[in-house]
Amino acid sequence: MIRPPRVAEAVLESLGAQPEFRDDVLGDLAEELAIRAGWDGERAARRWYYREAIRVAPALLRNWAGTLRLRDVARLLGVALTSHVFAAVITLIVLAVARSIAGPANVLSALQWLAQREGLPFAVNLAFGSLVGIGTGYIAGWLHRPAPVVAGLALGAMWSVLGLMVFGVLADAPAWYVFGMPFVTIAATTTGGALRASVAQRESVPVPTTDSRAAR
Amino acid sequence: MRNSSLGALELTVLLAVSRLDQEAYGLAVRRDVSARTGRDYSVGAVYATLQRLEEKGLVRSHATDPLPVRGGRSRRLFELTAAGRRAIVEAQRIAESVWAGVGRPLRPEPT
Repeated sequence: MIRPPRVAEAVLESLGAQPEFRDDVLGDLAEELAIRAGWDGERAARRWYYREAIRVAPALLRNWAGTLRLRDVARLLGVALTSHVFAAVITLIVLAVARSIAGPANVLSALQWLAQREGLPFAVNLAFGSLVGIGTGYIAGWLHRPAPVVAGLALGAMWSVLGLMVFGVLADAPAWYVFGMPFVTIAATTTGGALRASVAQRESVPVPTTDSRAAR
Repeated sequence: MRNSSLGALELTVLLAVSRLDQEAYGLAVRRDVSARTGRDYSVGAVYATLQRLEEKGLVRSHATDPLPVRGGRSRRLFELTAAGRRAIVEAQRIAESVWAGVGRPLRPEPT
């Protein structure tokens, strides 16, 4: 029997919707996937699943948002801040190692090169920022196991607000950068959270079937 | 019941639950609604609507045993409550009242 695509299912499971609502939706998707695989073949059925997963994600997020309490928001903010600190500590360790190998002056000049940005080609800047975002989003997802994607999203939102304050108000950055940056940031951190969700599902025990549940 | 007013999709889904009787669960409701309206509703939209209807007390639900075809998840079967039946009758009465007096078939204006 065809199984739903692992990554897509993991991402949908990690959007923080109520377990009942989430299982109803994912159960229907799995059932229709099996029907479609019989009609159109597995490949077409999987394509349908990915499309439907994109359509269904907002409903799962809305369901999560509908049940959100103040303490959940505080917890997400805590996860975002902690993952930010984690990323900063990892960066400092990497820098310390780099300094011990390459020498302080070389690391300093490399940091200046990165900070100046103008000397960097746009693609390198974008790739570097995205990698940092994905990595930190992964840490946020790891810290918030029930909803890793939402944790990545929260981190991206927090960074975007801070980024808009720093680059939009304090600095003289161009408008396209100020308004484009939040989308890239949120996409990167959410991807990190989705990656964590996918890894977590691979590590977890498979969903029990009728027989194994009945046996318990 | 929190709110008895019904949106268009809510009424369509409520009617589908009524039609499908013992077989009213998300996938069946979605197929019925999509076939009748010609619109491809997402699974999430249908379940969100069913959840709202349940909160309004117009339908109730129970879960079946887990099924392998659903990856070990249950089906949630929906059925109308007495309030749901009354809401359908009321919606029909309003629709008939609104349509009353429209004597000749309506055609789009020529452009």
